[in-house]
Amino acid sequence: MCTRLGVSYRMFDAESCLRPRKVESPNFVKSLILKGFTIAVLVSLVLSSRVVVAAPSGEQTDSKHQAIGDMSLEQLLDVKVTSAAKHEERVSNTAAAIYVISQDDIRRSGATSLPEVLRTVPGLTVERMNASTWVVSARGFADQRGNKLLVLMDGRTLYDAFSSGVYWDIQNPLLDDIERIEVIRGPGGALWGANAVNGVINIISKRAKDTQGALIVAEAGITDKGAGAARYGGHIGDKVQYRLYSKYSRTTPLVDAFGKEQPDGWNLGRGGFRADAQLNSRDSLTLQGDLLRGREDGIDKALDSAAVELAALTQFDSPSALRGQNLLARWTRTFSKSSDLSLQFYVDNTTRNSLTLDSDNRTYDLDFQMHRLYGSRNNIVWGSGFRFNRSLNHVLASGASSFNPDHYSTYLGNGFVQDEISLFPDRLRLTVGTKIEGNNFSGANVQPTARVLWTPNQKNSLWAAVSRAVRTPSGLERSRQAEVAAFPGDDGITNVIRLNGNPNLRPENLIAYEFGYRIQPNHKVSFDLATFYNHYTNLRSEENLTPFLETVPGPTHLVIPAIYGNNLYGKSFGAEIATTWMPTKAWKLLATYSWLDMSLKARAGSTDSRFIEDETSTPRHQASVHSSYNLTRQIESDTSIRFVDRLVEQDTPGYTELNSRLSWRVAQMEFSLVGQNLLRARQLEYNQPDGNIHSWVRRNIYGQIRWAL
Amino acid sequence: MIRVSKSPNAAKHRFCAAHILLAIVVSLPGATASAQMRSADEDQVKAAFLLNFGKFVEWPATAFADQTGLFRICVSGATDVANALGVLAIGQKLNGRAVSVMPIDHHQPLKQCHMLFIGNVPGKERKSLLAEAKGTYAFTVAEEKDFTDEGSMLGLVNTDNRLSFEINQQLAEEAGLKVSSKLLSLAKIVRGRR
Repeated sequence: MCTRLGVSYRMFDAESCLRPRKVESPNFVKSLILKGFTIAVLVSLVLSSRVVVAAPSGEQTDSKHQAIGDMSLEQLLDVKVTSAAKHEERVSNTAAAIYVISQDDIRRSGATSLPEVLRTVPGLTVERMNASTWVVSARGFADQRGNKLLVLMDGRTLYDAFSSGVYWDIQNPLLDDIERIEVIRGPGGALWGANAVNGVINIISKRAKDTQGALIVAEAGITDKGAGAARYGGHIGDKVQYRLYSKYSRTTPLVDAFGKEQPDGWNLGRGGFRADAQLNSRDSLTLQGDLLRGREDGIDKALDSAAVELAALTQFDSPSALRGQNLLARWTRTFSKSSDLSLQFYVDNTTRNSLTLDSDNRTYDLDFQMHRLYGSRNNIVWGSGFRFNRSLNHVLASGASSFNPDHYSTYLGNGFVQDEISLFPDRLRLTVGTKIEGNNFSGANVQPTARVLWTPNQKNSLWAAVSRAVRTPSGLERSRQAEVAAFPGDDGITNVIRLNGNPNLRPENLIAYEFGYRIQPNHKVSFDLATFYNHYTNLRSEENLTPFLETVPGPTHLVIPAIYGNNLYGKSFGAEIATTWMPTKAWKLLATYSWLDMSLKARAGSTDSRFIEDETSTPRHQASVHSSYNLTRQIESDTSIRFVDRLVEQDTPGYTELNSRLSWRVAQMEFSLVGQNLLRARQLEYNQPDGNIHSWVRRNIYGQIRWAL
Repeated sequence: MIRVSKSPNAAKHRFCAAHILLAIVVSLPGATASAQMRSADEDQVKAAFLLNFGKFVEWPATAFADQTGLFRICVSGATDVANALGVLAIGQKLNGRAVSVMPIDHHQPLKQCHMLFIGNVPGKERKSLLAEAKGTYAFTVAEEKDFTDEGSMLGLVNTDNRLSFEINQQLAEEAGLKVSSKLLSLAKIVRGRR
């Protein structure tokens, strides 16, 4: 939620010189009948499928700018001005490692999914494990779900507290509806609460007024996917604007090392709406929601007699049905330029039903936030929230994962306050704040932060911060029992490793020290450096228990039980650099580099041998260069090259890959041709020995048509 | 078109997609034809104002003594306005000259500026900027809360999300600039009127 704590961030961009920001569509005067017809066409397009709809358009942008540029003084005096949030901050004035992706960046990246968009952020690790699973993490800990990275969309958490991470497959909104993505690396617990340990990603969708008119997007690729989306935005009088969208995507399976298709294809249909109402000069209301249905291929594994005989867990295809729905309402009252409050409520429900497990996850969340400027020096934000989460895990097959208990409810309450103090106006600023969060399973957590920003002049800024953050143990870590592996033992008896949940698991802690420097010598060049030293304690470990013989399922086998513990600790150092250069008005270059050095240790007495390796499996070096070039006003060319270092513990080699995009705008249409992973036929990005499908990502070339009606 | 492996559930899911859309269609409220929304980003509107001011102020020929023949708008403490201006100024001419936008800070000389916009700049720096601008041909525009005789030639004021402006005619004329009567008539307040 960009408004949480009243802080939202805007890009430091000279790039808006290149391309104007998006604004609402030009006049859209069509009869209701015509609209109905349009929608009928959209429906049939979606039904005939393979066509997607999404769509924004560069030309609208130009025309709107032109409109303002063409206005006379008299007209200008009449325009109502909207400035982005009151305490929206420039990136160069932020005492945190922040990076903002604009809608233009998203479009020009050629990405078709959120994780692919996030690949462009320095310091983030994005690895595609299989067709439907991405690993996204910041500053290390690239485990399957990215359990130390909190992700929010319009104030609704996408981080699944039960499995501690994000299911990126169901987070595939219409990319055209996103206004910007704010990525903050480093702890954000003081504002956003638990699990914002190594970073926070805020996805902010466009207001309905910025998506007026209709849009159709269709894309089809050689190897990867086809998708289609439609959007329609309208308004009721002057005060209410809305949009409706629908999107359907199919992702074809990825392959194994030999090019054979893996059982990991999936498809997803979704639709939703957003309505914004300006009730009066002070109050505004937003209502939004999504509905999604999909089917995803996958595998499951179980311990049965065959597994014991063959000394390997039995693997079988286990497609899942995916369902999700959410509804969010937010009321904002603006008392003055320096004071406002907001109240938000949402309900979110997702279910996954496979052959072995029915899981149902439901969240109700209420948040209140108040912001006020006291005098000229103190900018205070405070608020509180309450969340109820219920997870049901109904096991359908024996020998696979089981849950004890299978009903899992958590209550969570929090309060936070943050003061931004101008010690010397426009020169030195101190931000102190904390969040206190309590829950019914791991007690209360205090997550304070102190940040200092020094801007000796308009070109330079330095910042430093010390913060504490925690990750709360997930329901899964506390309640699940899972067979990890089976293998032949010494005396011919099959050994089975079984990992048990630990109801007494405690939160993981981080104390982070950060330092950053930004310089923008002129409007053509900018440089941003962030460094950190992180100290972790109570990290999750895997402790061996005493082995025992088990007779069911027969024949007799030796179970080596393990249980989650809190016995790892350690530190990481790192640096992230992002630098931009605009050699000409039409050409922009962005180069990024990130370095990470992590070392973890097990406490004396711990028997952990697995997690200590898994958790350190993050590339040490990553680098990228992105070139955006406007050949003409209508033709854009983008090329990016990225290097990802090898994953030592996973035996995954490093790689260099190339993406390229060429787009051409004609009137209200945009045609683009995108090449992804062009250097190799296929590439393995992630290979954790965790029993999941690990697929090779293929070279893909796709074409896209965007049509703004 | 892409190659897709047929899943047995595909038909069912298309059906679902249809339902989603149908639900949306049914819930579609009676929309009215949209009128142009009279609201816009503040920075863009400010940029448009600046360009307009340039049309209604007359500079002496000596103000364009340099070889480049450019009309320079200098912007201090308002990068977003400078960015918006950069976009709006493409292809525009002021006093018959192509417009160049220069973001500046207080270390740079102002003598090339034909217009100086002072945004969010701390008091001391702002004073020195205005003082330095005195010896130049710069038409000074500032975001003013308290428009005073020592301030800028033109003050932009945001009142209830609408921008208006005030003019100090005397200051402008001391610098050799002629403010047109149209600009004066649209100003909320005119000081130092001749």
